[in-house]
Amino acid sequence: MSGFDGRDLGQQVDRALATIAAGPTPAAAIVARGRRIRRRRRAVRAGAVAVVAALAVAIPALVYSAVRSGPPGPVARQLTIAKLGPIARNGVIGSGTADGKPWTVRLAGGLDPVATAAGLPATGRLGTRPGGPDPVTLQVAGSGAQRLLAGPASPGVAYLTMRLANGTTYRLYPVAWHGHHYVGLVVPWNLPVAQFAAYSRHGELAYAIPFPDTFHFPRVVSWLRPGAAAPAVSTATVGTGFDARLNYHWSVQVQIGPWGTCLLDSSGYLGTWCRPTAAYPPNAVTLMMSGPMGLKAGITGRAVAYIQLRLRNGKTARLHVLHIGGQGFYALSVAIDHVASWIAYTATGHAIASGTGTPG
Amino acid sequence: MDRAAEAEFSEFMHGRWLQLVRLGYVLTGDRGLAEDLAQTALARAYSSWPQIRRAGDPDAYVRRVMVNANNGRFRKRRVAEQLTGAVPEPAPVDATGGCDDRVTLMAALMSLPVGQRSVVVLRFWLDMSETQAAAALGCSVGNVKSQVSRALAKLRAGTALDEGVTS
Repeated sequence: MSGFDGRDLGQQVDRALATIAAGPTPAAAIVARGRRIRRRRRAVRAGAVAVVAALAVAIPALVYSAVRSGPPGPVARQLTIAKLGPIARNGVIGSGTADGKPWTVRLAGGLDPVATAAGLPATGRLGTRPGGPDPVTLQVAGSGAQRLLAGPASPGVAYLTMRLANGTTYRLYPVAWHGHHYVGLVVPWNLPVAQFAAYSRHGELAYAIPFPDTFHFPRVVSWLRPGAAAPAVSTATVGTGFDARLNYHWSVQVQIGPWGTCLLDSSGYLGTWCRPTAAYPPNAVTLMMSGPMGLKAGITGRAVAYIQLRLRNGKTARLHVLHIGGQGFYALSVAIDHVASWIAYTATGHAIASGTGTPG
Repeated sequence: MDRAAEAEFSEFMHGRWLQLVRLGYVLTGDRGLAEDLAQTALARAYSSWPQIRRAGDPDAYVRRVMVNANNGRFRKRRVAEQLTGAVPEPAPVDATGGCDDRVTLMAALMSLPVGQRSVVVLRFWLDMSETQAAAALGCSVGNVKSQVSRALAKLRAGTALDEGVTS
């Protein structure tokens, strides 16, 4: 380290950061947020006296409300969700308070919007309708102490319920925006969500149990019919290993249950990747998890017993496939471009699928 | 804001996005927070774009907003920063090349207190002079010098950077 100075560090950081890609610029969200800041600033400048007057009026009303309804319970203080009108005004699809501070979820970005909330990263593009027959498709974004959930709802959904792990249940009403229906809310990270249920005017449509994520990102990828028994939970280790390049022990687990099929990296580098539990073609080999540590994992059809990897250095390696509930799972940690090709085999040694690069 | 200013801001925003996300990443070590800091800085720039344009150095403005917003996370919320690279959300579009260097460097940078990290990033990654860094951070040149000195001493002593920087 004796030759090291700050300029070395600058160059090292420069080279390291050159590998970092970013998604497309969230232009609509940035402009919408900038406009809100500008409006707020103007309102503060122009209306200081009006704010004081409004507070003078509001404080007695608040005091009256508190006396009348009694002190809010601990969960109510942590999360409240307001019922909005059926049409979104200024793109607002949800509002309430979390940890005593107000939150507002807004849509921005035209007909394929993103959802934004102050202090949280925006979601990806939400689309205009849920995927397939699902009543709602929820995206989750967040950092620090809060999670933003938002997504399109089917027109037949009258409301959703969200039950927290502590038993408290909230109702969410879809709000129309540009002719499509959306729900959006902010949840404190320490209030894990146990279940969502979607209702039409006539009754329950479906329910979903989010994957019980360590970081409390409520991932919803599978909706179940009302009354249908929740699939049993199966957990297994797909693969473990040691990556000498990074001095890094890795382990990939699969957890199948009412939430679908989730693969998770025990180190937390890659987080959790979930898909609906599905019947894949017998010879299918798909990539599900891929990340910057070179760790990759995926799902295969029931006929795939193992995958033979041909490496760039001429050697070969055999990748074991773990089977649970009609799905196969594999995991590996490998340097980029180190695998030249792969062939999937049945238990009797018949090749049934192949490809170049890493499997899937 | 008139159309010309809107177009100018749009060009600025798209042109700086990746650079700002990288700055956010090196300040926070977290992709989500990095994008959020970049969004915050650009939104604030948009809200005052005519004045920022007149001042003539919008890059300096957004960088200052990002550094201050990151420092503000610690001042206002008393964030307990995790020093590991474990993040809850995956980084789906990340390239893998150079990852080991990045992990080592980020671990070393994240081991610095936020003030020292900000100074190091401004001085050596953004190549600012001590005076420019002091202006961006709102502190004295003497403070910048002492922070840099302490940060480099800490990095030299750190085993993580030994592997990543020396050859």
